[in-house]
Amino acid sequence: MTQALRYLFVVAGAVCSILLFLLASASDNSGFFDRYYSWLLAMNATVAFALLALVAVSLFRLYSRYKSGKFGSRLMTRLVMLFAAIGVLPGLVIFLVSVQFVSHSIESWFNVRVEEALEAGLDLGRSALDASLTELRGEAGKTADELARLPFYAAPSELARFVKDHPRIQSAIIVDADGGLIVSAMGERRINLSADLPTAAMMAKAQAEPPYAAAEGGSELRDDTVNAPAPPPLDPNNVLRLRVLMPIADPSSVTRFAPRYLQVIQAASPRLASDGEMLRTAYSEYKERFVARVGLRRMYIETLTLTLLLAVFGAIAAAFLIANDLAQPLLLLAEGTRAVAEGDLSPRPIVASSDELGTLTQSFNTMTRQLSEARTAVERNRIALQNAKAHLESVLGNMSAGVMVLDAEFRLVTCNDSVERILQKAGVALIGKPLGDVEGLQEFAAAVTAAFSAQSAQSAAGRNIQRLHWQRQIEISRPGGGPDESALILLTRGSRLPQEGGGGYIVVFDDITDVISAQRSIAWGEVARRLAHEIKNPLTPIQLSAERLQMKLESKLEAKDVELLNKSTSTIVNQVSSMKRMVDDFRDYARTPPAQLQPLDLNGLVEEILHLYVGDEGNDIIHAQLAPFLPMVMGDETQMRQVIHNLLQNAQDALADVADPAREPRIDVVTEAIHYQSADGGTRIAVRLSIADNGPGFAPKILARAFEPYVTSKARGTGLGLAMVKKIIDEHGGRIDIQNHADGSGASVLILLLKLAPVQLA
Amino acid sequence: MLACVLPQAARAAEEAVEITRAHIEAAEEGYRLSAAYAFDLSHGLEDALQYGVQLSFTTEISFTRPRWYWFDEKAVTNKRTHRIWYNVLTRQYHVTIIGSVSQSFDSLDDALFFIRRPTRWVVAPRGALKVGEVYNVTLSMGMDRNYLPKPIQVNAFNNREWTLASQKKTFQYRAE
Repeated sequence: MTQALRYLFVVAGAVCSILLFLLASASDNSGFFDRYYSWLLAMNATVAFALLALVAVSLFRLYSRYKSGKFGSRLMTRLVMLFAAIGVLPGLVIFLVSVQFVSHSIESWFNVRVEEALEAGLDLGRSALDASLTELRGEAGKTADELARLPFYAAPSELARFVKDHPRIQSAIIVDADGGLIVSAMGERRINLSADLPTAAMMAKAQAEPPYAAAEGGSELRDDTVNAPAPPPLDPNNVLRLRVLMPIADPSSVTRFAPRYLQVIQAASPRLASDGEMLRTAYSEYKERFVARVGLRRMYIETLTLTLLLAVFGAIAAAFLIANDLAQPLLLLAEGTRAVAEGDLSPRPIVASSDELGTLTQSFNTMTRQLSEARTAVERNRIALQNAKAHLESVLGNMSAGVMVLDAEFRLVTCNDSVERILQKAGVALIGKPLGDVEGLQEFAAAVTAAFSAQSAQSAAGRNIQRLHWQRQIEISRPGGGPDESALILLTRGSRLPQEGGGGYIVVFDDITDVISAQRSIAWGEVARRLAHEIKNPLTPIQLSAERLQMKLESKLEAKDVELLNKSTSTIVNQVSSMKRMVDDFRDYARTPPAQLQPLDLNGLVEEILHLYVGDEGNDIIHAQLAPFLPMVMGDETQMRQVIHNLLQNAQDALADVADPAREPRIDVVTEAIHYQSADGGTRIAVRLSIADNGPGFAPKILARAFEPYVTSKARGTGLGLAMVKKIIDEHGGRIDIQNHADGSGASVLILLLKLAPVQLA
Repeated sequence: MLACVLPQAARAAEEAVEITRAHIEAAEEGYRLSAAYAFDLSHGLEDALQYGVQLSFTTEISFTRPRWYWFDEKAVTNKRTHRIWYNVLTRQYHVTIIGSVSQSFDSLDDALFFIRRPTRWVVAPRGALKVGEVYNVTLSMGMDRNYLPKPIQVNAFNNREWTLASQKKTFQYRAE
């Protein structure tokens, strides 16, 4: 039910109340009633029609809602029907009783006997009047005869005598044929004679069939007209009186006198007059009512019917309103329940009433609020949990170590991204497979299984119960690599998952090939240092001894032997000096002096070194690309110079190996500033020096161990160049990386210098 | 239903009283209406009259002068009511001009004749109208239900037989 419809109902109700009131009170105000009765009726009918339409619309809407099974329509229908019945039934009963009552009561006013009695009374009155008239006529006839006999002059006295003899005679006059007054005699009270003169019609009647005798008067002006002046009580017209008009026979001569007429007016006896008047009034009123009864009844019934219609429609309309009011909170609640079921916990509008319905909605809202809070808490917890899980996953995922979770049958349950990186296997593809079935992981699987078995055996033996995990270094061949590939060394730890969670194993492993490599280079350094020390000591005595032998024996030997001696001695000396140099190299490598870090202009250094290479025939193969405004780095100039020399030398050597003449040899030396994010969140700057060539690149086996001493691809060379470079850069706190170009066109060495010189204000 | 009945009733009323003659005469005492009407009492009305019910006939006349700048000027409005009733006891018809004379008639026709051809009626005194001006005269005549006894009124409202009125007749009159 819309608000507009609601207001329409109210307005219609008010209007029809007013109209009904007017209709009911219409009989009081006849003028108003007369003018507007039709309009009033029409307006009432219009309002009734409007209400009918309204009710019809409402009913139709309700029906269609009911039909479509709209939520709440059933309750509304029941309530509406209930309230409508409560409103309509009593109205109908009262209407029927009223109609019956009106019809019967109106009919009961009239019955045949009363009418007959009135008619009879009227006849009685008329005959009484007639009797009086007859008597008066007799009297008048006698007087007329007397007057006819008497001479003309005696007429007044005769009339006077007549009037005097009959006290009720009001006047006695003699008129001529035109009604002109000839002689008159009056009773005591008579003054105005003009009203008594006979009219032309009376004269005509008296002449046509004498005598004329009639009762007249009794005219009673009703006082229901406001304008009409009240008639004087003694107005002759208002008194019932008898008039006799008869010609006076003229015996003497027909032609001597004009015909004369005697008129006698006598008041009816007061008793007869009052009774007659009463009778007449009663009869008239009775008849009036008789005439009016049909209209009266019709009007009552019309009014009653209209009232009924208005009441019925009003009741139905009110039923809609009440039902709506009553059903609203229930529907609201039901709607709310449904919404809650669908998960909408927003608060419902509260019904502002202090009764149980209001309380109900309030408690409903309280309930939904609590539900909502509970759900919010659950949601919050879930999100927290999810975040924790995501955090854990991200930690696992970004962990450098590979983590594998295996079930009791050594099938992979989950693993992190590092597994994929280290083992070069798509981790997702492995999930669910027994580890031993995976191509290339058999060794690893066997080692892991063995380790777990060993641990079980140890646990069973009762030793080291406290130790929950094992640690082992497992060496497996590099996946996809050839036989000459260096092995992958994995530091693997394994632990068991608690039996309550379904058992299983966790395997954590890390690629420690690099670590091993670093350890190797340290070991090499140590070996080299000791070896150099040990070897260098006997070298000088050897050389000296050889030279001494030559000096001493040269003169004593024959020419042929001298030649041999000299040759051998020089060989010994050369070899010793060569060995010395080698040992020096070793010593240098092993005992590189600590770097003296000072602010260093890397660009300047690079330019200076390149300057030396310009003189070479391949001067156009080196292309420098130096970033301007490069920050100063902290570095040892001598050592850095050595680094750059070594790398450029390597690059040139690599280019010398190029077999493809189509490829133009080229070396790029690039310096640039790199912005990176440090661990504490701030932005920092590093300087990168990269030297790239388009030579054949590093062999894969070399690539892994390039920084180890004595690892070289060159025919001549100590294999210490890159090892030195690495050592120096490490001392500078920098990073060094070598990589082959993806398309196989050469290799790059990238040096990242992280220590920058403090900015000095110029 | 009601809406259908109303126009019919109105039409019946239109034809009930016909104004056959109407003109204004200027006399010494004032402006007099000379008019004649033609109508017949319906059966119901005649019966009611015979039962002693009083019937009133009201003639209304108004002189208006159109004014272009304002509402029409109402120069004169006047009203005269004839009342006819039958005395069942004396069997006479009485016709009264309310506030004026009363006359008795033995027959209904005589009595009605008196109403149909009323005596000249001074509707406006001398000086009420401006000489030379043209007035619109509106005349209507009909049975006045206001004068009916109340129960009959109720009946009259519902009964077409009880409606007896003329249409408004309008004519122009130049005041002399």
